[in-house]
Amino acid sequence: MKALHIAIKDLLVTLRDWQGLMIFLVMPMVLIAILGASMSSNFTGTPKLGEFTVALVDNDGGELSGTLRVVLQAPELKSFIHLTEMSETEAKESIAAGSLQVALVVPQGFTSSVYAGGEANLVVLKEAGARIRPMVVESIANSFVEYVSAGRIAAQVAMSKGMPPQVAGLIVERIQELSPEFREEVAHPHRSLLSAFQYYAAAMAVMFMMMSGNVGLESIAVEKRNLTWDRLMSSPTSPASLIGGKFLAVLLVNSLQFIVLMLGTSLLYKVSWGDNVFMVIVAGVCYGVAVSGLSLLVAATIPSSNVGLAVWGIGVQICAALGGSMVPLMILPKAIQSFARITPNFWGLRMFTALMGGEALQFSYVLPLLLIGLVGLSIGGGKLILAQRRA
Amino acid sequence: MQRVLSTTARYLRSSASQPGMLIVFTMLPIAFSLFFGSMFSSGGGASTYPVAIVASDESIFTKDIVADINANSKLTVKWVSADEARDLVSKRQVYAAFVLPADLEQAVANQSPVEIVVWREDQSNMYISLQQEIMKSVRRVVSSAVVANTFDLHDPAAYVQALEAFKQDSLGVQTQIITKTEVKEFSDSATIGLGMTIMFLMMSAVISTGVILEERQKGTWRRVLAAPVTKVQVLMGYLIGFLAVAFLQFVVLAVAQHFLFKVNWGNLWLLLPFVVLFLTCAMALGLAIAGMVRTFQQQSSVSSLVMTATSMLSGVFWPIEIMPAFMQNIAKLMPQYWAMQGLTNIMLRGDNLASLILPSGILLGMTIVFLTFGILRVKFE
Repeated sequence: MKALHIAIKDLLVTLRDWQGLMIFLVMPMVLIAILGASMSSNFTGTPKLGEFTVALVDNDGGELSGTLRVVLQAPELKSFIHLTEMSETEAKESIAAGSLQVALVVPQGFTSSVYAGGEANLVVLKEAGARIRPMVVESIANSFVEYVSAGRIAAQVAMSKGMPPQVAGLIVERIQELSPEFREEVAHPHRSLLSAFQYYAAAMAVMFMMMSGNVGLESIAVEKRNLTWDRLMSSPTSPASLIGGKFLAVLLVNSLQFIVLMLGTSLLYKVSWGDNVFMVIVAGVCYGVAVSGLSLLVAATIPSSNVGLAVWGIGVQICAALGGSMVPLMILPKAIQSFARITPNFWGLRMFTALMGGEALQFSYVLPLLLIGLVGLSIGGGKLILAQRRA
Repeated sequence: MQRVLSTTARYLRSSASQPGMLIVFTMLPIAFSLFFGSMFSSGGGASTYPVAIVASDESIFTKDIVADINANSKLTVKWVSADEARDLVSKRQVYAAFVLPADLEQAVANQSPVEIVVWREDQSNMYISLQQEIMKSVRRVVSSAVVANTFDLHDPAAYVQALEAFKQDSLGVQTQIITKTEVKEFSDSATIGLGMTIMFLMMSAVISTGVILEERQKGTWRRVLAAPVTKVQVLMGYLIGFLAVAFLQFVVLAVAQHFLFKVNWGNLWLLLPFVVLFLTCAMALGLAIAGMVRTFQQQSSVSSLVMTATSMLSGVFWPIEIMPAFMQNIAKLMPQYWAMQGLTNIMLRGDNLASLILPSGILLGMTIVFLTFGILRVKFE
């Protein structure tokens, strides 16, 4: 009971200070706004590439460059590609100047080289740093080149069989009809595909809640500096209630923040966090337990509060990155992927995305989080109590 | 100047006497490099994409597709069962899983379109590239079968010949990056790695400025002010001290990444001054934040938040391209964006001073704004 009083006192101290209130409740809203503005062009939750300009550079002037021009103006591409034509020098200058991201060059002699059976390449020119749009253009160019390739192979075979080369045209048509189709499905039949907005909302929530674990570090640091820590320790309040109170305070702040983040993103941007709101909140609290435990552990093992806060600030980023908030984990080495499992972020992010995908709250995600919290609480709390006894 | 430097010396002495701080500033960069340095090691090269493929059909067509995909250096393929594939996708160990149809042979024989099922968990940008690679291999086989069917329905040799012709055919697409000078770029992972490095360095630089507030809380400010120095002199002295520590941290990080992962940092004569400028800008931002809050603790939480928000805006977490146009312009107001531009130019484009003028100029401008704001706002009492 006393632990609860201490926790509520800490919470009130945090919230009464207008700056504290800002940090804990207004900042999540700011982050939500940034997230929303970055991710949603029309609030559907899917980032859109938007319409973009592709410059066609026709140095060939042949039949094939003409065909390519028609392909690029096909109805299904027209909705997002704005085609313009310019000289190669112009295209290079525009890209270097930043006014154009991608150009498609048909080199001189492309058509004749293809017909002669020689080597020929389409060239995509792109701005350094641009990725997705050039990728789309590369994909169109590849597809075009594959058809051209099919056509000339078919023509060669036709000739060798003594058939008229016109058969090649029919073959290319046939190949076009048979082009492989990709049908997207969700890996788990009972899950739904996450939007980038959902994924980053979970990733940012996990990172942000971890960040506010410094409430615990701060409140202990303040009590120590004001010497109220010693007084509390010598009061009839048991050290265990004191530690429990500090733990609960972080948990309360964290849970409150999570609810703000969740409600904010779901009401303002229709980000779905899962079907069962209650379970989602339980998940948020479990994640809070892990964060609170870790913050006690850091407060106990690093005596200087400055160093503690610096470690926490930077550690949060490392953990967020390890847990998958910044990078897809799969591109990191195996050993580091395994190491990432000690961070709450790893489990938290998986837990939230599973819930968003429509799964039930899974014990296999909750357990590691509770364990991290418990280990932090017992080692951190134990150390704090021991340190007090020795003093 | 001497007065400025005496503050610097005092700060450096006091941080050196705090072993914890030293450890933070050397161990954390090393830990960071250990975890994420490998993202840089693929440097300018192309990255490979982990994918899972389910191929249950045992026909010659499936075998040929498998062989062709295996020969593709852009993909790291895990050949698995359907259940394993679902698992790999939901554990995010692959970008996506592709399921080749179980009746591929029939589809090809009947000349009906081949349908490939794709499993993925969320929308990743890599997907466009991936699909293209798989598409290429499947199309080769299907096209070869079409060619063979048209001419010699019953001759397997015709199919094999056609497939060989498709594999050998020398038509392709090349990609060139156009910059004012050279043509190189980072792989996706190296770009993210650089973004994270910038965020990391900036974060610790910003946090370090909190010491100023701590002194005020402890009341040592008044003593300092009793000495014959001005506020600006004291602040400058501090900033030089912070800069020295942050610079040391960068050196540790750069050296660690260089030796562990052979990261090439480019021309040091360009790199070091640019890093000093960037760190100064970060510290000026820290000072500006210190001017807005009251306590050391608040400074550290506000800094974390400001860093997260600005990193989100400047494209550290997701590619700027997916953001709406007006957000892309806002990204250009963030120091991280320009640090990224500058460092990319130094590391990839060699001795090209001209490409650094804009990033340096903007960082310098931001530094002046933050510094002025900070000096005016930080109160001594």
